[in-house]
Amino acid sequence: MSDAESADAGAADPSEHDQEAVDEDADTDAYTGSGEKRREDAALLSGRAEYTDDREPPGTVHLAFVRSEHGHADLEEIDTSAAEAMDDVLGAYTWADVEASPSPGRLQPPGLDRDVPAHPVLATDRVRYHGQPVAVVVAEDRYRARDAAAAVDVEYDPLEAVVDPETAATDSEAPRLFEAAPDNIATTAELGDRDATEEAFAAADRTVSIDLENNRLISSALEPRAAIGEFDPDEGFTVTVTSQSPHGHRRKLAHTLGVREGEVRVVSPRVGGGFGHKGHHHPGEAMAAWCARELEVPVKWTATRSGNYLEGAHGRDHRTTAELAIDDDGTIRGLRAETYASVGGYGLGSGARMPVRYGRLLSSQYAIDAIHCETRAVFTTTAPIHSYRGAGRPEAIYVTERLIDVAADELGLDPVELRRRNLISPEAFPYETPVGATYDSGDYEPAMDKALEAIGYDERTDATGADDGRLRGVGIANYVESTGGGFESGLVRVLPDGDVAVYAGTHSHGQGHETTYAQLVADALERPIDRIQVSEGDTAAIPTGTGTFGSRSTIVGGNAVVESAEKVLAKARRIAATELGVDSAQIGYEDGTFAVSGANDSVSAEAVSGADETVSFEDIADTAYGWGLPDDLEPGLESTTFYDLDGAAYTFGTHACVVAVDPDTGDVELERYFAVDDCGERVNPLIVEGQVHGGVAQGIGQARYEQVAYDDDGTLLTETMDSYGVPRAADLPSIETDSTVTPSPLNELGVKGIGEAGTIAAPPAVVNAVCDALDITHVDMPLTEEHVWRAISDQNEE
Amino acid sequence: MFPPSFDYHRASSVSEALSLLAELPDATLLAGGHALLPRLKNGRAEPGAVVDVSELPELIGVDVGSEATVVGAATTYATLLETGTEAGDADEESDAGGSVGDPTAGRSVLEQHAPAFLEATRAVGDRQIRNRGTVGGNLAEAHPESDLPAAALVADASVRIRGSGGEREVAVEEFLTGAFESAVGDDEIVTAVRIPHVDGWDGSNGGDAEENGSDRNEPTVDNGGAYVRKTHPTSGYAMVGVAVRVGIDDGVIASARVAANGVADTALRLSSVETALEGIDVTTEGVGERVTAAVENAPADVPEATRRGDVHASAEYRVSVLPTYVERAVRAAVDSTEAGSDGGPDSVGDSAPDSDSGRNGRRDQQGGEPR
Amino acid sequence: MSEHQISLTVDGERETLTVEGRTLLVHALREDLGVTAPKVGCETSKCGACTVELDGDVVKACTVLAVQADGKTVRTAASDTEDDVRSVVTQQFHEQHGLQCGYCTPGMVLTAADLLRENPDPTPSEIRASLKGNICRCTGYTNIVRAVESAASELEGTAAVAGDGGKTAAVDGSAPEGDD
Ligand SMILES: Cc1cc2nc3c(=O)[nH]c(=O)nc-3n(C[C@H](O)[C@H](O)[C@H](O)COP(=O)(O)OP(=O)(O)OC[C@H]3O[C@@H](n4cnc5c(N)ncnc54)[C@H](O)[C@@H]3O)c2cc1C
Ligand code: FES
Ligand code: FES
Repeated sequence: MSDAESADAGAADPSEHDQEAVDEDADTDAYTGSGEKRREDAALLSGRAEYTDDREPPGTVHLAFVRSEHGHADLEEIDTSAAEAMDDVLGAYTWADVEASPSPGRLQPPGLDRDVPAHPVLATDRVRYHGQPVAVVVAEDRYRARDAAAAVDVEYDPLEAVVDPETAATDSEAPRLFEAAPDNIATTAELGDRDATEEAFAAADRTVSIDLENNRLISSALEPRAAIGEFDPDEGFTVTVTSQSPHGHRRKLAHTLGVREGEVRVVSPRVGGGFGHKGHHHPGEAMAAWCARELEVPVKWTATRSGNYLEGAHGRDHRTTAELAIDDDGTIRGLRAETYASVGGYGLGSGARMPVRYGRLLSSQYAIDAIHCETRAVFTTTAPIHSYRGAGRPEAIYVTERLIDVAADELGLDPVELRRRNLISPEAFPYETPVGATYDSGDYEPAMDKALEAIGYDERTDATGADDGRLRGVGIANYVESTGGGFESGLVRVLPDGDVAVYAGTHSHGQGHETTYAQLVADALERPIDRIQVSEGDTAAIPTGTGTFGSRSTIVGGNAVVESAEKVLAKARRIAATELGVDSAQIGYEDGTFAVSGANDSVSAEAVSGADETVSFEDIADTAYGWGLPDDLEPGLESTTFYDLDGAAYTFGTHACVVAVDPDTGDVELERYFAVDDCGERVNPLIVEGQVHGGVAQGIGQARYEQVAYDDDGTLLTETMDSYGVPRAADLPSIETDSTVTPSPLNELGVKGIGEAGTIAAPPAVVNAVCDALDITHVDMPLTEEHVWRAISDQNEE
Repeated sequence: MFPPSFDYHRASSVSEALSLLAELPDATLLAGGHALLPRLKNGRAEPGAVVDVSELPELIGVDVGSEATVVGAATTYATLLETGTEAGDADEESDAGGSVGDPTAGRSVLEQHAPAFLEATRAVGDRQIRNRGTVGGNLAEAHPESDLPAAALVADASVRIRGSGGEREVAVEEFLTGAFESAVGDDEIVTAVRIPHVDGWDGSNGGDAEENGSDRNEPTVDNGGAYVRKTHPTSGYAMVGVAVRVGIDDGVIASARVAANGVADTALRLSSVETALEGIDVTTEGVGERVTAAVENAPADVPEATRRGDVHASAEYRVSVLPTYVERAVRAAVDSTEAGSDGGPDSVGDSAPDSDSGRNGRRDQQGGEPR
Repeated sequence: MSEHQISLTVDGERETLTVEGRTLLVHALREDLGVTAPKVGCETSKCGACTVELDGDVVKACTVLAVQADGKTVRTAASDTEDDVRSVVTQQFHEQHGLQCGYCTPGMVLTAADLLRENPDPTPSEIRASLKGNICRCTGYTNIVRAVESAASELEGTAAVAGDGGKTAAVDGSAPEGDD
């Protein structure tokens, strides 16, 4: 789970039950595959649903951070005395206090070869990014915590900042963040075969190249991060966290607090969006818990929007030079890329290594013989970088899908035709790419054709032919998305009255697991959906799990709960066999009733109704917890599965869009946006579609509006929603969707993840369209009016 | 997120507010709060006291007289849009303060005399903001990217300011003294904005109504106006906003007032554009090119030292695209005149009615009278 | 620092409490009264998660002082849907999958209902423009727009949306004429 393959984001929830069931039974009553309306909606719509900040245990006090005003500085002195002297202030703490406590006080180790320290919860003697927590105050309420934080006096000795990763790594004058990393390089990795790639380039007819920046982003979930720390000397910590990964947070909190995992219970109620950053560990969660132990009262921390934006984790921030080796007939021979990726001021766990794995998707949908990718993850005096929805996949696909358009231009070939000539053929699966990914299944051309047809690609108007003076362009992006990494737990527990409680180690924060898992289990057990309850988000109740990110929940969580349901049903069948006095192979089951059915294990309708003896699911549940169980059966009716996918399931698709560019102002309008996605079987098409919409919106956000900006001193210029461009309704087109279905052979449900597809496909689709409209090779994201206008002006000058 | 501590006082009258301002150290006025409260929440202001004038009846209302419409400073955008666009009937006209426009045209007095001002008001912020933010607060805040200042300039509006020494009236041009700076003193209150009715070819309220043979609240000239803005990609304010008022005499632009916000520290008139527009015949072929030529020099009207930009839209960019937005606003303004509506210059394209067109990426809106 | 005793009606309940001058309405609701339907998503009055109705007008509760709400009536998304418009809007958000994490939803629903009361038949672009003050990071707005559109068609011809317009200017000139 800690690599780019699986790190992050709004995992979604497609799937379907196994192929045979669909084909043979054509069970039209199945919940799976239906657009079941979400069960979680009622509480959310009424405002009754509780998010972390909505909870307030009695006696809760509030924590506020004092944050660095500088991007890079030595800490000279921190004076908390004025704050401590204030009424209603319970405490003010600095690193010295943490150091003197039993807690190591560092976030998860970056896990790099270079011996750099892990992020301290409060700055030690130096700050390495604007907004790094320097001190913490605790007061009776939020307003007084704010006053106390304002009263803390910090003296800094500013140092030179460096915010660009390429500069940080290549400019010998650049300031150095850590002694152990003299060139600021945190880690380097190569993927693919350098020599083979060089040969391919030497043999190819032509080479095209491109320099591009993958802009730094902020996930911007609408709910800011929050945590409530509680400590009981006998029972340990209970930390209520806005978490995508409660068990992950438990492990990380235990590490930072210096206690055993068993001493930490993590509870995560409703979560208001995550997109990656709520899977990561930040100082806030840890300090809420640390202060709770210090003060023996519940301590709540809720990030302000700017606090959230300052401390990250941010995403993306790559500088890449990439080349494509191509023959005149359009055959792609090789691809190579060299990337500088920012880590930020500290490595946050796997976040520090994430960038160097991004190249694993560089093959996109194409059969390319040789690929080589060299990536340097670089410390800069900026907020830490970690996975943001997509987590390496968008960066890779952007490189390849941009390069192809550049190559098509160079060859004078239609970019769609160039793509078509290089697609991996449906017979080639499983397909192993030169950068170490094994695609499980795919059939790329039908999805592409669907998108092209929907957008009217063949009838598209000439870029200059529009009558309103605007330039039209069409952009296409193909993509693959690796989904389903890491194990997941699913527990299905039948209660004595026959109700079914489902527990999963994932944690929905918008993806609708309560509905999706209920659909799956209802079908597997042939029970009405309203007798199924789904719970997530409490480490005390749920078997150890992994969490919701990396478009993994339906694949691994879904298969885990289904497998558990199947095990439960097998046991129920054995109990029924005893009750009915036959061999369990003779027991048929349909719609909640077990019946004797001869030797056949699947039972027809008449068999059930014609049987003289039947027993209901409820009766079996009752028996399982009561008397009359056969000696060789344990009481109880539940099962836990730890499901692990062998490899990854590769979602794919084609997104296409039409833009109109105003040549006078650089204004871009997305006139159409059409997404065709293939995530295998879809458990709930409504939810899948919602995931596509949301992902595309964030992808268009990256392409058009979003850009984290630091000035040369390392001051964050985009600290608020006024300056960081989260798209509003009027900024986005209506997103149209369609699908193809190529099941994954790797899991029984045939599902693949869909949570990140839109963030992967949209940026290249939009940029390709604008480049087509302007007839230019490249323009960096975000395509603000000014960037586009400058691209037009530059072109006019040539 | 949490404002620093301050004393809150709700004034019961303008004079009480004035004495509170004088007495209390570091007191500041609170109207709609949509500039002040965000500033407090971000810790960029720490007033000792806040004097709330948002509900003072004296400061609320739209008073339509025969020569001018006077908008109370604490009138919210929503109230202005509601009352300022009411096309009343003859009965209402006899009410005190006159009120409301020509029933046959179905357009209110303000729509006829200062359409750009209403369009700019409609463009402000969002629904929730328009329910709270005030006309006086908008001008007093003097945000360089606010919508109302440019519209107030072309409306030839003036600002009424009351202090301990009495009331004075300052032309908007003099009122706007810099970015976030205005002529209102710390101990003073903006009480109203006066928008004169168009009553002469110079577009100002030069003559008196009687002399011009009109006692009705109708312009005696063919008057048109528009406000066109490009929404800032992140802040939602105006990256560039252009307000235009034109008077057409016999098919020819007899007077033009053009002002822009977003490009400089304050909203400002584009006088060379105004001059170049005057005399253009809008009824003949080739008007498009003549307008294009007339707006070309707009950048020259924006002094270098005052130009403004940010990380998303630099000063250079804003000033470079200014002529395009000026041109669109001029065309929309001409289209809104009688001369323009029957066969004016080439169509200016679609007009979107709300502050955002609702079309992604085309957040500039133009024309857009609620017809 | 001044303290003020204020009384207000929140979702039908009469409440009296003491607040500081600086206390924001959203904090008085959430912290002092435990009314957590309005959420906080930003500090720049931008996101609309805190939207409530104040004496019938949608406002951002993070940009109103609690003391300014003295004597007024606040309605949040948690209030009983006394009017058809909001209940239909709410229902359509569910039907059209117009919410994912739900954090924007209480504010979004109030703004959408406010739009429909004023303009019963908005175009998709008018809907998008009207939601400028409410940010949703999850849905991409496509299904939110659908929900508002289908609520509008559901409400067509019902009394709920007629005659309550004019709170702000009609955006398209087709203002209801107050015909009932
Ligand atoms: C998210 C957001 C988006 C916005 N978008 C736009 C936009 O697109 N266009 C736009 O024009 N504006 C926009 N605004 C600003 C909004 O219109 C404000 O309401 C306006 O700028 C200030 O008006 P107010 O009544 O809210 O003033 P307040 O915030 O109450 O006061 C602003 C300043 O003016 C002073 N003041 C207020 N009233 C008086 C008075 N009567 N006499 C003297 N001084 C006074 C105050 O002391 C304070 O210094 C936006 C605001 C926000 C929060
Ligand atoms: S919290 Fe009020 S607008 Fe964001
Ligand atoms: S549903 Fe999550 S922010 Fe709108």
